[in-house]
Order: sequence, then structure tokens, then C-alpha cells
Amino acid sequence: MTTDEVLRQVWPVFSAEAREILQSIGRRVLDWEASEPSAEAHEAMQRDAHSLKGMSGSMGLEGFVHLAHAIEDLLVVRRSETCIPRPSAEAILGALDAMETALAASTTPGVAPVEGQAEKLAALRTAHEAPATEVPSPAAEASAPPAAPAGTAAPAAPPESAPSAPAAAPAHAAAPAAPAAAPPTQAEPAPRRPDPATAPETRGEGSIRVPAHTIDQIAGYIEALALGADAADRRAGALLSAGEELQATVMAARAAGPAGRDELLDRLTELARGVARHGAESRRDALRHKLETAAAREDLRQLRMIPISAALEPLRRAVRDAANALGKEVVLRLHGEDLRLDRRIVDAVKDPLVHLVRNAVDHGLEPAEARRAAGKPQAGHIEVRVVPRGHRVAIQVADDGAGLSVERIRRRAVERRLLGAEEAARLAEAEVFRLAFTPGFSTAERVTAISGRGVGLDVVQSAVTRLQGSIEVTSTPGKGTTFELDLPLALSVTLGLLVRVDTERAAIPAVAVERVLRVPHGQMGHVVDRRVATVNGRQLPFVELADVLQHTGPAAPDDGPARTALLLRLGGTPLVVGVDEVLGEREFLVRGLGRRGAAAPLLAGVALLDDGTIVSVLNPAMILGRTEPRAAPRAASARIVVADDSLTSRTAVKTILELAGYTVVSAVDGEDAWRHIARGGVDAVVTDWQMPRLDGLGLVRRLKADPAHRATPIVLVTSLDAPEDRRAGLEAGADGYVVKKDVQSGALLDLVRALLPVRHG
Amino acid sequence: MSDRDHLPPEERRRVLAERRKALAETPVDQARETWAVVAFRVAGHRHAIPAAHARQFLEAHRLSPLTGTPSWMLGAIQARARVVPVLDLRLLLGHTGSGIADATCVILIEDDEGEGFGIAVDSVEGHLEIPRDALTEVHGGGLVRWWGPDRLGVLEIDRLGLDGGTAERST
Repeated sequence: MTTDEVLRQVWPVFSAEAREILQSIGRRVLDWEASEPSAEAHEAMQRDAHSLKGMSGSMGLEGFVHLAHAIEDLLVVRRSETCIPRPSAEAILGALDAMETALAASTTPGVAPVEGQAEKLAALRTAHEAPATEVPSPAAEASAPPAAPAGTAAPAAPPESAPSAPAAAPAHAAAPAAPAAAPPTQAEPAPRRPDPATAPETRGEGSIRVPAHTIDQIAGYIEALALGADAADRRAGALLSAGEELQATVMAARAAGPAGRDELLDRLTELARGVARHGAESRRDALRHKLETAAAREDLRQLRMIPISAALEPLRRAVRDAANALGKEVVLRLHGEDLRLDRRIVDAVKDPLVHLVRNAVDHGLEPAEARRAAGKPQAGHIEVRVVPRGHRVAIQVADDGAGLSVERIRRRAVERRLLGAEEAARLAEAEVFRLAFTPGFSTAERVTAISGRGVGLDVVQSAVTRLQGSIEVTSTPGKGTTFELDLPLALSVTLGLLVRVDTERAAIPAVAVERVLRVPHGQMGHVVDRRVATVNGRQLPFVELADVLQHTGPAAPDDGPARTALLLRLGGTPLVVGVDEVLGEREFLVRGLGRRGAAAPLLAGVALLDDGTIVSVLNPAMILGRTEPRAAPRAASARIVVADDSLTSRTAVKTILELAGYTVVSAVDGEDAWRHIARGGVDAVVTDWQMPRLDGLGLVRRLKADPAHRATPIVLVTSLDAPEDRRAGLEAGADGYVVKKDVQSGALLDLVRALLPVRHG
Repeated sequence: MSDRDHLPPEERRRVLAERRKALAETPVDQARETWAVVAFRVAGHRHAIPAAHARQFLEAHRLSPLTGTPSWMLGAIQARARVVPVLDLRLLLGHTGSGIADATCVILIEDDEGEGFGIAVDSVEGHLEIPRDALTEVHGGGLVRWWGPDRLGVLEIDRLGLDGGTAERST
């Protein structure tokens, strides 16, 4: 092997091990901020830093070597401190981050330049040279909680402290660690830290590190084996039947006649018995293989499962950093970290959880004064709880902050033209909360570096949807907010329903299918322009799977008095999905299609069937999301001003437009209409002709004369139906002309639709 | 083991980095300055991909169509232990006609990230060695990255199927 090849092979192993070490040191340093580590913990940290130095040296990573060395020195110098001083902690964590980033960004084995290496080294050296801090006495702490919480450098720190230690900042992600000094309201224990006496001082679990690619390959081979077992079973069956046929023929031959044949027939009989025996043995083999592969599959599935703590650990750091940056005190509690999930889900859920806790620190938790005024403990509480639920898992992120303001969300939705005011008022609370997941939606008054740009929640939702999960939020004003993610335990083997749409097949994970139905045609209909089906007396949204798939075959054939359908639900409102046929229930191994699979968001992956063909495995969350009118980000509905001095006519037109989904603003005459138009945000105008003050024609002229509004379509609706009137209206600049008696028949709607540009959600 | 192992670490790193960079960029035969490619035909047009990326040649009838995928994704195919998507080059390249009808072969490609995917082609010409100076580079971000002799359009592997699959005009 050439050096290159050796490097290529060794690099992933080095990278994984180095990252484990970086995380291990980081965890221990965070713990050290809160309480004094045991002797074993100190040994472990120094050993880790030392190992890192050695490993990096052998890979030729000079930057890592220098940083690891500086970290090692700093650890030694600070060893006697009960709590590691802030500048030291910051310097070490900063260096660890930089190395982690370098490894993550590395595309070439052996090359991982550390960004800002010089600064990180300088910070480490500065922290090294700072004089040892005094451990604040419990008395001093009790009297001045805002001043020097245990573990930070004294606020009046020597000038050479790292700039990252804000003077007198009370912010601290871990709760103040000296329980004796803590004010009475902060009796909560610090975030989970291993009890030095009992916690294992090992980095991992004695597990073997296997590249994910290898696991995929093994899975592939085993799958092939499974198919082989099926094939063998079929063969066995064939052999058995052949044997039986031979027997039968032989008996017939015997019955038929005379001499010499008998020997032949004896031979044939033996052959037949032999065939039968082979058949039986093959069948036994096949059964054994099936059991073996099932066991292998299960072991493999376990290999894929890792404790969710890997996704929860980064939250401690995220909360700490966010709290520091905002000057808030936050206590983070984690529960259920030992639950094992598919590695891919754990990886994918890291970022969404970080978003959620950052949001909670930033927006959920009130500043200290507000909390005190509300009688809450000064430190905000965030709890992340992992709860198993059968084949699925729920992850709850709860804060005890101010809660979500339903009114603010409603108002913001109207402001951002997601809904009309009346529509917003009519929404149930749960649906209002769901609005918060719209892209770009944020009720934050100001954008902070942490959050507030409104990017977070919709990203969280799409990440969760991609994992075939869902997210819900509940909140009590004044008490707090809880986000709950519902996720599968594993992405691999799924029980699913195989269905047929025209000539194509698709698989849908069974977990999302509540029932298979036959919906009589009489129970299907329309409400406005949405299809519905009545199931058990309840009207539910209906959609054809063919439409969701944008299938371009012929329309669904008439399959008798009822339509076959699936009742899909993943928490939330169910959806009735029409299919041509349900082919049966199968267990699928869902495989991804790699990066190119991202071009097919409807697919959770593909599955290999017994007959060797491949089918799409649909992502039920995507089907539900696509068709649920509220959950998906809605296209802003157009605002139309309707001007008519007759209440009856005005109401009639308003109703027609609102049923079609538009937002309508009423005006009693031309001047009134103009007032609305001038304010802006009007997409179209429908006006009567004869009105006091400013009539329709005048309105048209004024509109078209104003450069700011010239492009707004305006339609004249009037009882005047003479060609010269029509001409006058169009000459004045009207974009359309409808006679009142034609309004009911849809002429107005057609015109409005034609004049308004199509909006995309 | 070569001399390189006796160089000081910095020097060795530099040499290794340079070599990796050179290897990563182009499939160049250093001795003869030619490119090794696999040439094939799609809708009457001649195209090619760097030979290092072509892993397997499979029969097109083993392709399974997939529902719910964009039109330029013909389906998926099983190759050894993997299931990979198969792309319709005709659509991606903007040639007329599309679909499985004329495709007889699926070339299994492995990209720089080690991920596999297939392209359905009408016929495979085979391996070609093209002299480097017979290739003209194309700028402008299309899927055809170089033009070779006899109107041979050499394709950019890494963008296939990753740029949204919009039809490209090959000039």
C-alpha cells in the first residue's frame, strides 16, 4: 500500500477518535465549571489531551499538536482550582471547537487546517499566565450573587483576562455550583453531572468504531441473503411438487401395463423419493437461513442504534453560550439520554434541538427582573426529556418562561399577510401555534445573534418531517412553552403497506396508516375547492395519491360504488388518501438514495421487494404536509377591495370572493376605496359604477393615473350593460367589466383569477 | 515504500497534498498525457465520463421505475449491495426524447463522495484514451465540461442529479 492509501484508510479512524477525545475533554471542562473534578477526571483530561497531541503528531497535523500541548499545559496549571476560571474554560473550549470544525471541514485525509489557530493559541497562553484566582468563599457568594458566581474569574479581573469574560456577568449555563451559597430560590441541582465516585471514567462503552459505509454494505449483503433464502424456499417448493408429480406419473405408468417397465419404474420411484427428500431438506435450510438472517438483521439494527445522549450533549454547550451572551441564568436538565435511536436520527436531530433550546433561552425565558416579578426562580429552567413510546420516541423541550402569546402570533400572521384578520381570529389555539413554523415567521421584536431572524422553527419542522416525524407546541401564558417532537426509533426496517396507483406501486409506512377504508362515492364531496370524505360521520380532507405523486396516468378508473383509501395520520388531523388497490403488508428495509434522493422529497427512501423490484417508500409526513391547508406555509392570499354603496351587492361580491380564498376589504364608495388603496397592500379592486362621491369610473381613472397603483387590476361590476358603457369603462382603463347578473355565474371569479398573478407558496 | 517516507514531515505533507490535488482534479495518465474516458451515446449524441468513475455496466431492463420522483429520475437499480437512483441523461442534457424506451445500458457511476448513481444510455462505445490537447474546456456551468474530438461531450459527474435536474442545453 502506498502512503497515500494508508493515510486514506487511517484518516477516518483518526478523525472519529479525535472527535471523541475533543468531546470528552469538552464535557469534563463544562463539568469543571460547576464543580471540582475528581482525581480520575483530571487524569482523564490530561491523558486525553496528551493522546490527542500524539495522534495528531503522527498524522502530521502541526496545528493540532500545538493546541493540544497548550491545552495540556493549561490543564496542569489550573489543576488545583475547584472551578476552572472562565478565561481558561473559554480558551480550552474555543480551541476544542476550532479543532472539531477543522475535522468536520476536512475533505482531504491528513489535511485539517485550524482556522484562527494563532488566536486560539494566544488565548490558551494568556489563560495560562493569568494568576490563579481565589476560590470565592461561600460567604462572599451569598452576599453578592450578581458579582462572582462560583467558577468565573473575579469581575475586576486582571486586565489581561481574555476579552470573552464579560465583567460582572452573572450569566452561567450551569447553575451556581455552591449549593450552600445559593439563594433559597435556586435550590435546583446543577445540570446532570456524573457523580465522580460512581461514574465510569471511560470515554465510550467499549464499542467498536465501524465506518457507517461498512454497515451499509453489511446490510446490503444480508439483504441479498434474505432474498436468497426466499428464493431457496421457492426452489424447495418447486422440488417438492416435482417429486410429487414424478410419483404420480410413476403410479400411472404402473397401472398401465406389462413387463420390463417395472425396473424402470423402481428407479423412477427412487428418484422421486430422492427429489422429495432434497425438497424437504432445502425447505429446512431455507427456514434456518430465514431465522439467521432475522437475527443478523436485528444485530445490525442494534449496531445502528446509539444513545441519544450524543444529540443531547451539545445542548449543554448551546445553552451555556446562549445564556452567557444574553446575560441570563439558565438551568438545563436532560432526561432519558440513554435511550437508543438510529444513529441517523440522532445525527439529524442535533441541530433542531439546538435551535429549540436557543429559542427557549432567547425568547422563551424572561429576563431576571421579569422572572422575579412573576415569582419565578431567577434562573430559567429548560428541560429536555426523551420518552419512549413503543416504536417511536417523543423528545420534549420545555421551558418555564413566559409562554407563547397567541395574540401576538395572530397579529403577526395578519401583518405578514398569511391570513386575513377574520380568519386569524377564527383559528383554534393549536393551529395558531402551528403558524409559528412558517418560514420567516417570527414574533421577535428584534433580531438577536441567537435567534429572531425567524429561521429556526421552520428548519426544525422540515428536519423533523424528513425523519418521518412531527412536531407540536403547547404553551401556557406566564408558565412556559413545550415543544414535542415525535420520531421513529429507527429508520431501517419498517412495516409498510404496498399500494397500487394505476400501474405503479408505492409503499407507505404502516405507522402512519390508521386504517384502510372503502369510501362510498356518496360520501365524497367538495367544500369550496377542497375535496372531503365523510368517515364515521366526520368530514376529513381527501386527496388522491395519484395527485400527490403528480402521476400523469389516466384518471382513477371507476372502481365500483366505493373508493379504496387509506386513513393517514401522524398526530394532528387525519387525511384520507385514495389509492387504486392495497396490495398487502410487508416489512421493508428502507434505503436512502444518497444525495440525489433529496430531489424526491416525497420519498423516505426506496425498498427492495422479494421479487427483486424496487419501490418508492413514501414519507407520510410529506403527504400530510403537502395537503394540509394550514400546516404548509400558505401562499399569501390576495387582498381585494370591493366598493359598492349597496350593502346587499357589496356583501354578495364579498362572499363570493372570500369563499374563493381571497381577503376582502369593503368600501362604501370610490373615496372610501381609494383610502384603502392609497394605504397600500391592495392586490385588486372590484368596484360598482354608480356610487356617491367618487363613482366607479372616477375610481378607475384615479387608479390608472397614479403610478404607484397603475398596475393594480380593477374590475367594474355594474348593472349597466350597454356596449357604450362597457367601452367607456375599458377606455377609462378598467381591466375588466362584469355585469351584475353574471357575477353569480362565476364570471367575476374567472376574471379576478385571470387578472391576479398566481402566487406560489 | 518510496523516498517520500524519509522526508521531513512538512515536506512530506506538502508533496502528499500536491499529489492528492493533482489526482483529485483530473484523470490524467502522467506518462502519456491522455485522458481515460468511457464513451457512450444518448439520443444520438456522443458523451463520455472519466473512466475512473465508471464502476459497472448493467442491463437497463433491470431498472425499476419509481413513483413520486422528478421526471429526470428514471427509477432505481440494484447493483451488488446497493440500490441507486438512475438518471435520464436525455432530460438532463436537454436532448429530445426521454424515458426508458431506447436505453439499453445503465452505467453505474461513483462520484467523489463515494455515492453511487446510474445513467441510462442507448449504447456504450467503450474506453477511449483522449490526448489532453484534443480537449477544449467549456465554461458556463453546463453539464458538458469538455469537448473532445468528433463532438464528444465529456460530462461533469458531480453535478449530475444534484442541480435540480433542470434540462441543460448542450451547445
